[in-house]
Amino acid sequence: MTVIKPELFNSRSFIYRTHQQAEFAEVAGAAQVLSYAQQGDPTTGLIDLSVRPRIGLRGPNAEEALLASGLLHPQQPNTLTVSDEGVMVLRLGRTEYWVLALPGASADLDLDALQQQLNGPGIYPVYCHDSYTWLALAGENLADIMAKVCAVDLREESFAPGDLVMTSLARVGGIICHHQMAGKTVYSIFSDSASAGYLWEALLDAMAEFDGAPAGQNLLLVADE
Amino acid sequence: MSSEMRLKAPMGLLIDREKPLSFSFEGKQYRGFEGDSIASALLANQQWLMSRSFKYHRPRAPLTMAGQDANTLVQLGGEPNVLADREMIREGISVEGQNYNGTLEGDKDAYLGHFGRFMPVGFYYRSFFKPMGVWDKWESFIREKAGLGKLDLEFKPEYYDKKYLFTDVVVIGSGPAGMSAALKAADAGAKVLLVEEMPLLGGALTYNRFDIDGLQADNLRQQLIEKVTAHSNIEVMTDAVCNAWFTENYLPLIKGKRMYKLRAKECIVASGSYEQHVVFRNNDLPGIMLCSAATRLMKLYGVKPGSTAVVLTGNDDGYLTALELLANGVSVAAIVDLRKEHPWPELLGAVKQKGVQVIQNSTVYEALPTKGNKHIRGVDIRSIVAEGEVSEMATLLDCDLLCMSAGYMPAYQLLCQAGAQLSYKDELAEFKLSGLPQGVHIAGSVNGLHTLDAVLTDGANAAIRALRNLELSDEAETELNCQAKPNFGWPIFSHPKGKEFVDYDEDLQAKDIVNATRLGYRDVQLVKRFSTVGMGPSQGRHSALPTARLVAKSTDRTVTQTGVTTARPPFAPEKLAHLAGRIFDPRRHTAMHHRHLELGAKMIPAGNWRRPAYYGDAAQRDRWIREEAEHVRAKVGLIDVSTLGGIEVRGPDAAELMNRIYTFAFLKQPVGRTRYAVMTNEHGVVIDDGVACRIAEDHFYVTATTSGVERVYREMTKWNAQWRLQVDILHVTSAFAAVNLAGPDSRKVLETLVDDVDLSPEAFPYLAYREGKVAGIPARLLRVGFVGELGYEIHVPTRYGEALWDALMAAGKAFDIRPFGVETQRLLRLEKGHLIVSQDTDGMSHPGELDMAWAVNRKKPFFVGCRSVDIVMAQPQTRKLVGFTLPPDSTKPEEGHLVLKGDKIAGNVTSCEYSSASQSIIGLAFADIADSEPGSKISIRVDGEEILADVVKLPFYDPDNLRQEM
Repeated sequence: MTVIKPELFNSRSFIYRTHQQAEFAEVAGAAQVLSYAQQGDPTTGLIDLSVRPRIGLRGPNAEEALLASGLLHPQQPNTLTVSDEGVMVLRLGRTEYWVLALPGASADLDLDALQQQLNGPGIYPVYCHDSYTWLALAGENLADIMAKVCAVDLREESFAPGDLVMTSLARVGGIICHHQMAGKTVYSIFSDSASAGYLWEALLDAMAEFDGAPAGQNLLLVADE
Repeated sequence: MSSEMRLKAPMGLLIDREKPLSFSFEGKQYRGFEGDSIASALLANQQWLMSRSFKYHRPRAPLTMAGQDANTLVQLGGEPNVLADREMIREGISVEGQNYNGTLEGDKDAYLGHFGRFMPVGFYYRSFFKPMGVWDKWESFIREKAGLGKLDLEFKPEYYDKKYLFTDVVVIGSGPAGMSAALKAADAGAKVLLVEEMPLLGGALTYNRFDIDGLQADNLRQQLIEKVTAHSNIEVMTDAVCNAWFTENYLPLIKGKRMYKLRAKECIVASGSYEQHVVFRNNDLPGIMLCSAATRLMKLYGVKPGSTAVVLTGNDDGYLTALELLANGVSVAAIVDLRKEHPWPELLGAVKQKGVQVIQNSTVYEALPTKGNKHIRGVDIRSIVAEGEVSEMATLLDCDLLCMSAGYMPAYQLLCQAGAQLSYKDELAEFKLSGLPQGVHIAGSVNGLHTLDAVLTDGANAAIRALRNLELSDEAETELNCQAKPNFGWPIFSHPKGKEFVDYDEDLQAKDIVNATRLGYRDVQLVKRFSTVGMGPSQGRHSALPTARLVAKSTDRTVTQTGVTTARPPFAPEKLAHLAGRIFDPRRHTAMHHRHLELGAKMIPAGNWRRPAYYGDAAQRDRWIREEAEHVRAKVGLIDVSTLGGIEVRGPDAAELMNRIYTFAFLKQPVGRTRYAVMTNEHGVVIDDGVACRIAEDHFYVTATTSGVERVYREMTKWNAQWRLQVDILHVTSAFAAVNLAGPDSRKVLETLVDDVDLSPEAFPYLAYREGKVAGIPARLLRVGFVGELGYEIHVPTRYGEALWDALMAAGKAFDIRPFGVETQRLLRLEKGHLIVSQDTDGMSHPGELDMAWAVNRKKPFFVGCRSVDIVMAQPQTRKLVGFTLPPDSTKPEEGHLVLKGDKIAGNVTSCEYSSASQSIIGLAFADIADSEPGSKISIRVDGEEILADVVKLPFYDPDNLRQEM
């Protein structure tokens, strides 16, 4: 059996080298970290989801197209929805949408096909898979951790599940999305792909006082006992 | 080991007697307890002398026991200027005194005190400015004598960081007013952050005695703390200093090695007040302290401050201090009351019942020192005959402790930073604060209230005001009444022999302040700058009030008219590490970054990107650049150009937007073709360039310079906010990784990896654009000629960038492919005479100066900057960017070297490098227009030498463009 390694694929995470001790699985033609070997799940984990499928669209007709596709539509700007099939839809401002396959998303989900479908005048693709890295911070003390890198109030009472903010973290532009997975609080963070290594280190540094550690996507699939 | 003197519990709130600790001071071992400050532990061991004063090197000991004076500044290991009355002891720490010559006890510079009359205020301003240059001779001596502490130049930075905080209501200060406010606000549902500078809650309740029996403070403190700590809406932060107030309640809180940046909707300042000293001769002797310092010593640390005390007071608090001293075994020789009137009868009766002598309408005129001014041994008491004047008759009393209280000064700093004004109430002899901005509230003794009932009510009232703003309550405030008048109007008693200190930090005596006004410095701000009063570490906490009074009297004005000096942040000493700690410095890496490192690239910054300059060690830079350039010219090279800016312009009006933004014409640009794109600003100055690919009728992909793309994107979106064209503008720099595969063999390399694009020169000519797959990776292909050879820019989604690099390097192996860096690229494009915007242009360069008129379409009706371009190009041109050559053995000019025209500067060199293709040194430079024609000579000044270069026609290489159009 071939051991799955990132360099076996043309599509690679921007920070795959940081996952030296990880166990991978193939996801959408790339290697996704499942878990870190010889490590129990941390109470707070930082997970690299950069290779997970996602598409973006924007423009005056984007909303209409999204509604027609049957996706769960975020009613308000800067909010998100998560469907039972594991599809997360972000609404960034009024006319931009990202559609993302969360870990554990339905195997039938084909975002490439959806991208073809969500096409037409007044709809413009957004290259969110390549412009942005996707990191997920999951577990406890998330607002405290983010307060070390971000000036926005991300405490639960100000930043409820389903909210997202477009802001700056560690002086890099980014989008922070609050959702839940396997009973855990998750902040999905999208930020400049070229700064992924920098942000990964900055977040791990911020997590250190809370015993945070790198983790794989399994952390988002298994509920704490 | 010295003996200790500790009082029994409940004295010593802060110390844990079960945890003894050892430390050293001036090389001698001492013991204390966990919770002790350095100062309290030393005083417990009868070590009073802690430092020497700044100017006269006088022995100094704690004045406030609260970190509000410079008397306790000590050296802690490598860290100077540590406040010994705030820094807690730890096992094994080594503490030294500061600012002495020889030993702390036997400071050889103590003689300076005798020369005080030769060092009047501002003496160094007036003494060391002439003859010319004399300051240089004095400076090192003065700095040596005046310096505080020693810097550890081997210091290793420690980890400091920052964190944001958010709350509905922040309460600064956890005294009775602060806790009352916090509870009131929290009860109404507000989230409250209660910030306390000390390690425990309670403020004055932790050390002050408010009643004759001494029970009220402890009981109230326990009740309030119980409620505060149990309240789910209150978060408590002790050992934290709010160091400033910034607009809209943006507050820096310093706690340990972290700076919190708090955003509070409402801010209640209950910062308390500073007890004030009495100004009399020798008021700085060790053993003289504020009443609150003595009670802090007893109640917080269980340290008995002396054996026999005299209390000098202008208020009732001195009497309560006397009772506290008596309760802890200190005999009180006398209470010297500055006032004529008696305190409340029960209090007077209580002290008299204990046999304490009360001397009314009198002051300590002089403190009598032991040998070497090491401690107080007695006091000279005189009755007050007029404001600041005393009788001839003296009463001498022996004592080893003098506690004093002339009244209080509100801790006004944060509130004044918020915009509040201070005004002096003559009837109370006290400053009051008014004019608070929206969202800032005041409570407690900082608000001029001193009785517990009034302070508690005031705290609740402040919370009600905050809650009203938060729309959490419409409750009315409770009326309050406070009759206390703790300030004595003129606690300043000048002495013919001086040394009656107004400012302990700077050794400033009463006469120094008066003399400053007599020299013409009437404004208190000028007095401060001339005399340095208030400029020391305590920042006027004790000197501001007596200075205001002295200046007012000396200049025949009111104290309100005089005012106090501006209280700027930081409120308390702040380490640079708090500001510098964990500063974020983003860096960007391309998808191929690690491949460059593996290949030994010398990486250089390009904006916040890192790019390979060349591949090899820096010592052989010129060699690697030359070899890489020759390789590209002869075979094939590969460079990572992912940092190039990328912008997508899409929509029905995409071509129209391009046509308005860039100087060239784009309306008729064919699909599948690229076009050079130059951008000018509204002043007609060239600000960026790139290549525009027309992917579809309504779709352009345009590149921009690495450092300029943010600006280009900003300009496009800004302009379209006005134009309202139907167009979508997307910044895609990070979305694409890109390489330039260049050299005569580049097509051969590419052909091995591409099977869905016809790469023949006919099918894919120079300046064409195609899409296809390279090694199975979806790619945008651009035929470009930046380096002057057959070349392909290949842009792929970033996730595939590293795989693309690997595939090209593997395929190119058969053709001896070699990576080349950005320095090499600069040489190659220089050989082709291509300029780099911002390197070869400046803030004045218009297209005419750059010989780029060909890139400006004069027929189209508009582009940004078109009118300015018309105007500046119609002007007589004064300079031009020209190519020049020098023989290979000539001194090589560097970028920035000046080009001269006679004795005038005509321009400067913008690019210069040795070119093996040209066998000469080549460069670009701005030259006088008269010297811009090929065949002219320009004079370049290189490190003092003037060299003559030949102006030549560009390009230096392949003038017929045969190689790039292969």
